Formats: sequence, C-alpha cells, structure tokens
Amino acid sequence: MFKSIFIKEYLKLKWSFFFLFLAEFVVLVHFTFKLYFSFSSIEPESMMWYQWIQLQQKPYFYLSYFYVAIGVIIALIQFLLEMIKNRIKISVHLPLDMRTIMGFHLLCGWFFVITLTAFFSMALVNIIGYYYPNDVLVVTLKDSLAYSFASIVSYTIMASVLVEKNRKKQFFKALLLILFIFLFIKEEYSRIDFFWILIFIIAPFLLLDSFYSIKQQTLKKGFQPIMILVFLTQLGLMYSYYVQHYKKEFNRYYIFYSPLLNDFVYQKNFGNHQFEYGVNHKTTFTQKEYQSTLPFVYWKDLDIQNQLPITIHGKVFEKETIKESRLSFNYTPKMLKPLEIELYPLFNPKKNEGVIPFSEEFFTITKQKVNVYDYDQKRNKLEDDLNLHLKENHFHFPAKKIWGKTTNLKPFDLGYLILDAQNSLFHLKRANDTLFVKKIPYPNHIELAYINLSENRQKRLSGYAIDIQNNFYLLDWDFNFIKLKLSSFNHTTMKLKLLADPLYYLIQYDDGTNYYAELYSKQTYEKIDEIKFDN
Amino acid sequence: MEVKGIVKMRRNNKTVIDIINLSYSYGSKKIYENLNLQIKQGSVFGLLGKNGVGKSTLINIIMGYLSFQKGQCLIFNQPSNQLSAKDKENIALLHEGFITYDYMNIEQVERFFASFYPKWKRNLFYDLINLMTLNYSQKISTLSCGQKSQIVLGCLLAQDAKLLILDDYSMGLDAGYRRLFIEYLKEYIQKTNKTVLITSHTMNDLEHVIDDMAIIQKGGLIHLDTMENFNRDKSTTFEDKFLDFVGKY
Repeated sequence: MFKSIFIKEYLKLKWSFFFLFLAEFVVLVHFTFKLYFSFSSIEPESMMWYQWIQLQQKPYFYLSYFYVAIGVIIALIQFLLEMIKNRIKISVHLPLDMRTIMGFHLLCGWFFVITLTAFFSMALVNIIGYYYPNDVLVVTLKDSLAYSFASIVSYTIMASVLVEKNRKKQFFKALLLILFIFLFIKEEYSRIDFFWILIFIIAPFLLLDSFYSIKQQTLKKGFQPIMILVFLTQLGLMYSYYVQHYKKEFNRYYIFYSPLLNDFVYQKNFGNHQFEYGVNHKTTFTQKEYQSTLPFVYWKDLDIQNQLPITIHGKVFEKETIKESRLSFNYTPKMLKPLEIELYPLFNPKKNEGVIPFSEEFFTITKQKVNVYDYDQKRNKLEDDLNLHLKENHFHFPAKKIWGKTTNLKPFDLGYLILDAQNSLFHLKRANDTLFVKKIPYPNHIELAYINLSENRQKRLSGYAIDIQNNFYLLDWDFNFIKLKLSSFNHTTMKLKLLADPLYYLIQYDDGTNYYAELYSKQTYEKIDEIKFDN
Repeated sequence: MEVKGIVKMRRNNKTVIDIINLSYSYGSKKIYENLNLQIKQGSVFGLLGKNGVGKSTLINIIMGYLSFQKGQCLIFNQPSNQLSAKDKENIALLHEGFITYDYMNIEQVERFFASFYPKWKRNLFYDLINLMTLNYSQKISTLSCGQKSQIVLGCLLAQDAKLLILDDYSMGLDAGYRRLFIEYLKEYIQKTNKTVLITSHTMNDLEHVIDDMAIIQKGGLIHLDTMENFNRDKSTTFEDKFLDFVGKY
C-alpha cells in the first residue's frame, strides 16, 4: 500500500521534482561562479578564509533559505491542489487508519525533500572543499545537515498548514512555521540546537491533527497544550533572539576619576539623551563643569582651546604625554565564546615592510599536531617547523585555548598565547620568516578563562588575562601577570573597560545593574580608590 | 422542524445507515434538526432535492466530513466519523464532481485503487472503460466530464463494496452519460445485494432505480417515502409529481 501511495505521490511530484533539481543545479552553478570570483579577486585568497572563520561570513549562508524553500515547495505541490480539488477526501477515505494515511504521505514527502537536500548538500560540500580547508568542510557538512533539517521540518509544518481545515488552527500552525524558520536559520549551530529535535518530533503530529481536521476532528488529550507549549517556547526564544541581536546596550553610568577633584565623577544616563552629572554620590553639576573635571578625557577640547599643557597638583602634563598615555582594553562575556573553527592566520611581519602582510598560512591545533593550511597547497616547511618548535618546548597536545588578535591592521604582531593540554602557556609568533615559541610562566593554581592581547605603541602592557575565579591580571610586555584586586568582578556576567591616562589605570565594570569603578596606581598597581553605583 | 415519514422504515440489524435525532447547523443557520433516517441493506435510497437544499451536506455528515451538533449517525453500526479501515473498505464513495486523482492515467488509477481493496474486480472496471474507446494510458485530466464519470464509477464498482454512496452523480453529465451511468449502475445492483445511497437533483433517471427516498426541501424539511408509494398515481410523471411536491413548500 505504501508503494501505491508512493507511486501516486511520485506521479504528482515528478515534474516539480525534476524542476527543483534543475533549480538546484542553477543555484549551485551561480554559487560556484560567485565563489570563484571572490577568490580570484582577493589577495591573498586566505582573506576569504578569514572572512568566514573570524568574521563569521559564510559564503553559503543565503542558501539556507533555498533549503527551506525546497521543503515548502514540495509541501505546496503535494497538498495545495489536493485541498483545492478536494482530492484529500479520497485519500482520507482509503481503507487505512488516519495515522497510516498521514504517515505514508509524510514519508513520501520526506523522501523527496531528503533526496533534493542530500544532492544539494553533497554538491555544496564538494564546492566548498575545493576552496576551503578540511576543518571548514566539516562545518559546511554540519550546516548543510542543519539546513536539511530545516527543510524537512518546514515541509512537515507547511503540509500541516495546507491540510488544516480550521482557519484559526491554520493560522496558528503558519505562525509556528514562521517562528521556526526565523529562529532556526542562523550562522552557527551548537549542541543547544538539538532542542529543535523536539519540533521535529511534534511536526508529524501537527500534520496528523490537520488530517483529522478534514473530518472535523482533532488530536485528542494533551496535544493542544503541547502545541501551546511549543508556541510559547518559540516566543521565549524569539525574545531572547531580540535581546541578543537588537536590544541596545544601555549604560546607566559612565564613571571616571577626576585628577582635579581627586574623586570619582559620573554621568548618569536616563535615556532619551537625558543625563545627570555629578561627583561621587554627593553633588551634581552641569555638563561643562563635568567635562572640565576630566582633562585627560577631554584633552582634545583643551588642546583646541590652547589650554595645554595643563598643571595638576603641581605637575605639568603636555599634550603628547596625555596622548601617548591613553590606552583602553575592553572585555565582554561574549568574548568567551570560542570560534566555530579554530583556524588562525600565522602572520609574518617583515622588517622592511611597513604593513603586516595578511598571512597566506592558517594553522590549527589538532589532538596530535599542528596543521598548517595554505590556499595554494604549497608543501612548505612551516608545518614541520611549527611542530618541531612546539615539541622542543614540551607542548602537550591538544591546545585548550588560543588567544591573539587575528587582524593585520595593527602596528605590530604579538602572535598568540596558547594554553596546552597541561595548562602550560606558550607564546607563538612568526616574524621575518622565523618562528618563535616560548613557554610563558604564569601564577600557579589559576585556571585561565580568557586572555586578550592588544598590540599598542606604548609597549608597556600587552593585554590582560582573566581566570575562572574572576581574578583580573594585566600582562606586561613580557607577558608577566600583574594581578589587580577587583572587588566584585564576575567575568561571566560583567563587561569591563580599562582606561589608562598619564596618572592611573581606571577599571569600569558592570552587569547592567551594579556599576563599579576602581582606580589603580600605574607604578605599584595597587588600588587607590573605588566606587559603586546601583541602577 | 417537520419530518414527514410517510413510510416507517424500521431500524433493525440490516440497517446500513442509521441517522437518529441528528441536528446540524451551519453557524446560526439550522440545516437539519432531529433528523431520523434509516437505510436498509440491499435498498437503493434516493436523497432528492433541488440544488442547495443540503443533500451534499447530509452526505458529508454521513461520511464524517462534517460534524453535527446533536444526535447519532451510524454506518454499519459504527459512528460515521470513526469508521475503521475495514468499514471504509466496504463503502464506495462518489464525491460530488467526480473527484479523482486526475493527474494519473486510467491504468495507473486502476492499479492504485486495486492495491487497497482485496475484493477488487478488475474486469468490472475495464468492462466499463471499454464502453468508451479510450487509451488506458490517457491521463484522466484530459478526459471529458462524462468519460471521467465512467472512470470513477468503474473504480466504485470494482471496489465491490457493500455500500455505495453516490453524491450528485449527474453533475456536469449530459443526458447520454447520465443514462449510461444509471443503466450500468442498475445492471450492477440487480446482480448484487448492494445498498446504494444516491443523491440527485434530476429525477427522471432515478425513477426505475430507487426503492426508498427522502425529498429534502429548503429549510431542511424531509419527506420520506417509497418510490412505489410516491409514484402510485400514474396520471402524472414522476418528475411532475416531484416538482408539484417541492412546489408545495
């Protein structure tokens, strides 16, 4: 009987199936030409890798909607005319129970959707494999599986929308489909997305419920609450999506330290460009007065007004001193998120070149060794040299974490800090075609959560580190760890900013409710003062 | 709501369709109220009435496509909206407008339905098809309405079901095809002990086919009768009597 229904569905879908194959072919050819053009018009080609890996710009992302379209089109062809011409009544009257009738039709639809998406995915992976390293290929495969999943679920829910006779339920199911597509299609998939298997399990029941609606019936007991639960969950995810992508970050307080007042000053933001300015928790004043208390922040104004150099507590500060002393480091918990593909450009600045050339080679650290990828697939010594250097320095594979700034738009390259399997920290860099690997000592008994390297012309601080106990460390130019005793910092929930001026390091951190500022000596790194504001 | 049951049709074990105190409204519009109707095994029951009086609505209720507000509707002693696969196997249903899988050809549609019905009579199907000189590989959508009606009838008869429900068989058919349809059906019924429920708004063709009938008027009024009783007066034709009757309301 399944064979008969399959033949029936095949006869109905065969031409559309053929045209969808053709459409896939056309889309793939277009995609290949686009990719070919991108690679041939960029130098070096590894910039394209960089765009994908570091900037999360996947060249095939837009094709995810094509996958969804395949599912929706198959559902339309399979069921739209069935409903318009009332042929569904014949199908429902076949001497089978409703679950079998629905199940057979669903399996047929899935067969066509899976065949189309499997062909498309295989072709896509092959095309990507020609231009990108193997590590990228694995992610492409994962993404194409996710898109195929979206196609199957979209097909199933779309079919349930088409077959449903009750207009209210039809609208509700359509809403579920739109929410699903909106929430599921995204740049990166992780384990948490296995949650969507639930909707894959529920979708056939949506279709069964629609089949029952032809006989003005509905799935009994428990189904409606489950549908409402799924809908509410999707609405919850929608809100979380909104918060992540569109909700503006709102800073209630901007806290600075005034070297003139020897106290903290603040700018309180009420929204809609309404502010309050004040000193500590004591008095408020005008914006102009506020700015006049912060000569190192508004030094450009002073320069234009010819008020530089400025003397503070008997010490003279020239324009250049202020300018060169300024430095800022930023941290947000989002920085903890690892890259989807751990591939890093290995820069190779040259003595006689002003700009760091973008690296042609990318490296990744596997369980046993370092792999180096080169677009031109030249067999160079770099991979062997790199492995040898790491081995000589007693590096234990695999790497736990790799930190470094992966852009060439910086004055010089500090390379990478790599945490090995035994929590030893290594410095890796390359310059003038020479590799450099060195073990970096750091405080015992701490577990590193994050390191930020920041190439800056001052060459006093190379960045900062945070351990899982929320301790914050400045890294000097030789990567020595200098602990700053932040009183209430939590790296999983708070963002942080370090601001340097000629006199102090000011650290601001907040979780959106509690705002802290702490002042540290530039000489001793001891805390001088601190303040807290509540939302 | 008035129910004119001139002939008492007793509910018994041989009742194939049993409608008891059934009420159905479409929104605020009452279509049927407290409808009682029994169709005996082996009888040919005509559900007659002008267009738009609710004949197809009743068929849809009987087949479970519409749910009613009150009462009971049983087929083979089972609630009509919960028919088992076995019950459905025994009901050959002609949907209004000769709905079929018209993207298939004649041979494909025959093979398709044959796989679902163990008692499938392939010869019956092809005997009917062969009355028209058609190529079996011809797609159904390319056939005329009359030819299509024969394909659908062929499928229904080949199914060898105990109950045939034919909803507005005459829709879109010219006199020739109507006659062919009815003649073939009549011959088929005579050879078997099938129960038939047939609806139509054209009366002449059915005069010598149906045993019992229900005439439905606008507003849901039902007149139950036997053909013999209704047609007793030979001075006027069946159609005139029908029109006179319908005209009374």
